[in-house]
Amino acid sequence: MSTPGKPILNIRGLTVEFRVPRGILTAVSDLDLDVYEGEVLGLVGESGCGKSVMAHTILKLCDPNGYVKSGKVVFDGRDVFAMSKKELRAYRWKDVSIIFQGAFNCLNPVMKVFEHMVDTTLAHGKASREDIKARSVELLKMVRLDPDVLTRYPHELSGGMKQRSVSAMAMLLKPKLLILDEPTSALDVLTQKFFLKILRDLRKEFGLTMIFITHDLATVAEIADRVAVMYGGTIVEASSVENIFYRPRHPYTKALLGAIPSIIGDVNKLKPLPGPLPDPVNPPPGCEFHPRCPYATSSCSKTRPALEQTDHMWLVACNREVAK
Amino acid sequence: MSGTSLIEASHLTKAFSVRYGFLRERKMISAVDDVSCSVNEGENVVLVGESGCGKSTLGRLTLGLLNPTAGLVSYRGRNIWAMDRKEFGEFRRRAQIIHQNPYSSINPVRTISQSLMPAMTQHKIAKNKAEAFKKAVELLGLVGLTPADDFLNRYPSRMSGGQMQRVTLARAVAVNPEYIVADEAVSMLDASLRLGALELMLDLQKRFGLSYLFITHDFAIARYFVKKGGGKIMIMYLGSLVEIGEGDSVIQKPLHPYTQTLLKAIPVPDPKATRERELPKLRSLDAPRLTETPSGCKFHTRCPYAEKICDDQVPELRSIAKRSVACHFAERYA
Repeated sequence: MSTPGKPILNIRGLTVEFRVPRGILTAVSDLDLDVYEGEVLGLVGESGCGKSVMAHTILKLCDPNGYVKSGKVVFDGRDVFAMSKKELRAYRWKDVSIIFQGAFNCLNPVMKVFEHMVDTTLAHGKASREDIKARSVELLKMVRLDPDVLTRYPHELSGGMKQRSVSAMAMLLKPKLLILDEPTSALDVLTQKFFLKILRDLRKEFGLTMIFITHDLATVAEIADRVAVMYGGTIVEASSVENIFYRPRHPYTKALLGAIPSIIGDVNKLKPLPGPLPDPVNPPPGCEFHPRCPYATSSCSKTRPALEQTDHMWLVACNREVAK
Repeated sequence: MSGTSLIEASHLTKAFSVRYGFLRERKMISAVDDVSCSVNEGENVVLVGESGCGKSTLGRLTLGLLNPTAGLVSYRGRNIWAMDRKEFGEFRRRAQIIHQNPYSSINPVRTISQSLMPAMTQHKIAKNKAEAFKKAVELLGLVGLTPADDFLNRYPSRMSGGQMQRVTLARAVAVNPEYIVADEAVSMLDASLRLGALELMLDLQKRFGLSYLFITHDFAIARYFVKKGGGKIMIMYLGSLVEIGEGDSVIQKPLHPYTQTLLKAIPVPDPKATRERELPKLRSLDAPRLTETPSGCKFHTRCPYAEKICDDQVPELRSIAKRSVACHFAERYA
């Protein structure tokens, strides 16, 4: 993206830990991230890299055994961790809305879709049933669903229809930022493609900012303006989607892109990444990628690289010059 | 690659009875519907389809883990359901399976050596425990879990997903099989580990002369597997095979409208290329419910090119341009 809007969300030095039987698990570690108004930020990483935890923390949602150790999240100039219960209630869904992983399987089976819409709206403010209905119908049209979906029970809808209903629900209170956590992973390929198209429409219509979280790089290539790559609980590289896919700088980004099979391209150029993913309870010292990195030197196991701007809107966290 | 047929399925059908809807009516669902295919010695057959299409059921039928409702499965020309106990036992040793989730397919309260060794003594691959132990060490070395001593006495909960998937591979090859059904064997692994596991499977194939029925929903993985290891790709839709082709020809130039549409919908890790791919206009986006299988060609409810004949006549798999395609109009796309 050449001309980004102003930052709408700033995350600084965020560290989130969990108490687990084995010790302290660091899910997110000293993470910095800005999200700009109107962009679709693709957040990619493998399982356990902390991408979902980070997303939940933006809404100050945390499992009982987890806690924010340090850092802050600022949305539109307001410190999220300093909000009162009442403020949080308004912040969630009105300012920032999230579609959780597998959310479409969490619809109440004995409630019609319309009752879900009513519940959601009333939980965060006041509105008449007529207004809610009018708004729901409008949103369902946006996601190309027939308004009579409102009178149906979840079991009467297909997976793709449920996912679209949930997306409409997430838009009910006109949030500024929509977080989508693996929204397409459980959908079949055709529905996936269609859903991405709908997201693009929603964004055009409402000028929505989105964080699109996924482990699937190909989906990110399709939907994102800007991509942030996560590894070991932190962002290792962030730049425009073209830079990340055509000119990756961080050794992890390079290696990951070189290890994913696709239906196009030369399979002989692909190379598996050596070694296992880092253990979040006992992470490797220094740069967490150093045990698997072909460019690692002895200093990489000692100093943890900071996320630095190497070019305009291009952030890389690597000790080596090769990444610059 | 020799041409001897190892596993042969002919007109296989497997129907399940399900209770459906508010009144819990009983209905029959044909998960696999009149499917014929074969796996030759040393060959890779990659079975691709979306969830619910019956690909796992077909895999399990070829292993004798499920009883077919109709049709035959034969192993080296012998009907597996006509075998006596001893012969069937031998077939079971020869035909192994790798499941998607290693944590649920390996006993969590047994150590890795306790999971590997009994099969070897049971099937008389090893004479005694000591020999089985020696073989277990060897196997772990083969699948890259070294030093083996570190892993033999570990419990599954102490190992990562990537390591566990290697254990399931070791366990599958421990009994000297000829045929392995790999059911979404790498789907649970992370992107950075997937390629390594695929390479290992192909490496084991060379070493032991295995035949794979590799089941996946992921065309990219399917393509990688046949490009690297050779073989053919079969595409399944709602219980039927709709297209079969050598190598990645099915992906290079799909002939069946279903394969064509799917391949246009799959995103590729290239921002420019992937945004240029447009989905053809489908008649309906959603897949039909399994309880309401369409008449005629099963894809006609969604097919962008469907005509009258497609509504009521079932297309047979026909040979066209070195391919088998089940579409009335396949010639148009060849």
